[in-house]
Amino acid sequence: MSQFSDPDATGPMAQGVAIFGEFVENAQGVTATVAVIGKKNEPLYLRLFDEYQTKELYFQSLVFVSLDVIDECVERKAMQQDMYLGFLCPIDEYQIYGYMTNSMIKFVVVLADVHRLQDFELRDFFQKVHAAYVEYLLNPFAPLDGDKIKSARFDAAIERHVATILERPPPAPGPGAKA
Amino acid sequence: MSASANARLGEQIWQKMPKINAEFFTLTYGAMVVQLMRDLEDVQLVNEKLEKMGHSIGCRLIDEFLAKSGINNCNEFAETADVIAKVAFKMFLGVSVEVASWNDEKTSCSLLVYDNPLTDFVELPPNINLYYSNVLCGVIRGALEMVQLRVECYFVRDTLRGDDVNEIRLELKEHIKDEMAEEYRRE
Amino acid sequence: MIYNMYIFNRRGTCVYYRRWHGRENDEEKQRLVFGMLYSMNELVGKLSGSISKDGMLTIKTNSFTMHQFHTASGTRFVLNTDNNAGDLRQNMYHIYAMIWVECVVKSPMWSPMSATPVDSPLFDRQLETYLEGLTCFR
Repeated sequence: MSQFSDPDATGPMAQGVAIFGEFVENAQGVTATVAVIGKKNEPLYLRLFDEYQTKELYFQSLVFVSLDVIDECVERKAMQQDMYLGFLCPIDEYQIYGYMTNSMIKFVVVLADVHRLQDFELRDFFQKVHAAYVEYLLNPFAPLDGDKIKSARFDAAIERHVATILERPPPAPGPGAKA
Repeated sequence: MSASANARLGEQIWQKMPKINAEFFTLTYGAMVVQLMRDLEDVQLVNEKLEKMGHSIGCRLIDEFLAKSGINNCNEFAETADVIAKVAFKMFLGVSVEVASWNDEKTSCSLLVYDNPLTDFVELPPNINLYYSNVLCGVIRGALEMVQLRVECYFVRDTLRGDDVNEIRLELKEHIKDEMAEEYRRE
Repeated sequence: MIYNMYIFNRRGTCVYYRRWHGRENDEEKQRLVFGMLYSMNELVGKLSGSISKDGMLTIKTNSFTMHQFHTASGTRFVLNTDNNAGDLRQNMYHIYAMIWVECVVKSPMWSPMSATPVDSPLFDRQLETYLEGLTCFR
């Protein structure tokens, strides 16, 4: 039924939105969710941003759906030494990008269609998040057995990278653009 | 020796000291602290243990320090504190430390450690009374004991607990008198 | 010519003794040596108003010279030579900094306050090689 939802709809949610097609109103940011998934596909970290926070379950399910795509993607890219998996799939009005380390830790972002991001920007973002994750693991108190990531420093790093790389203001709007 | 001369000396020796990988060092120390927490199950005991380990490190390190630095004698405690801050910390940890907050008698002061290599990457679990770098206090106490200074040394502020700087308080308690072995006391 | 060498810890226990030339010394002599050095240091401090900053003390008699290097950490290195050895300040410092610290102090089995004699083949070897290389050794 989600296919009936209209990505351009601006009206209240009741309009043509069902099971999956959850539309978030007034969303400003491009980044809806950043997630870290462990080796055994256990969720290690799920972070929702701004208005998207109201739909936690929905975005959580998006991330899990994307894991299947990652599996396929990995098979396809098995021969390549690239951790950046790129664009995984579109679901509803969102786009999902992925990155997987050699230790099978998956990083997933769900992006809204607010502005287009280039591949190199996402690559850069994932690399920095990966580095933040490594730094988190270097904390001797960090649990190694797949517990959820609870770290103010990791939170701050994610926020910083989201703000500086993903949420950059769209390049100078054309003269015709209306506010 | 003046304060800036000590800083220069510290820098000079630091250049010559053998180095190890900082991450390896930090991780080793971290793994040890966490293991202690697991084994002792009481944070207060861990603090004490770290201090004790530091003490035995300090007792040995003093000779390495004297040998490499060529320093052999300090006239007063203020000079000692400056040498610890500017030469010893630089030489062994690669960081420079500031001496501050002297009391009127010049017997106690604070060492301000702005950059503590032991705590890179570390985030303490919430609500825990651990002095993660307590080993440093032990090292200082042990080393000074070997040059006949009995001191107390403890953390006052710790960046891991949200303070803006690491502050180690250093208090001189007494000058230790030479004590002779048994065979000299019989006579 | 180097006769012998003593190393005393802070409490006056002889933790190392080696003889190369001259007469064998017994334990009693070791104690006398330390006792004399201890009193000498006190006396020098009282006579001159200050103890030498670099920890060196040389006592010269008609028949031999005693060189003492006293570290701030309390270890005393004593080298007895004939009167032609000259100034051994650098050499004593070398023995302390490059041989003693490296071979003995850094060994985890060594403890600074221990009264047990140092038993380190590494230290023995390096000390011997170093001293034999000195022109004043023979």
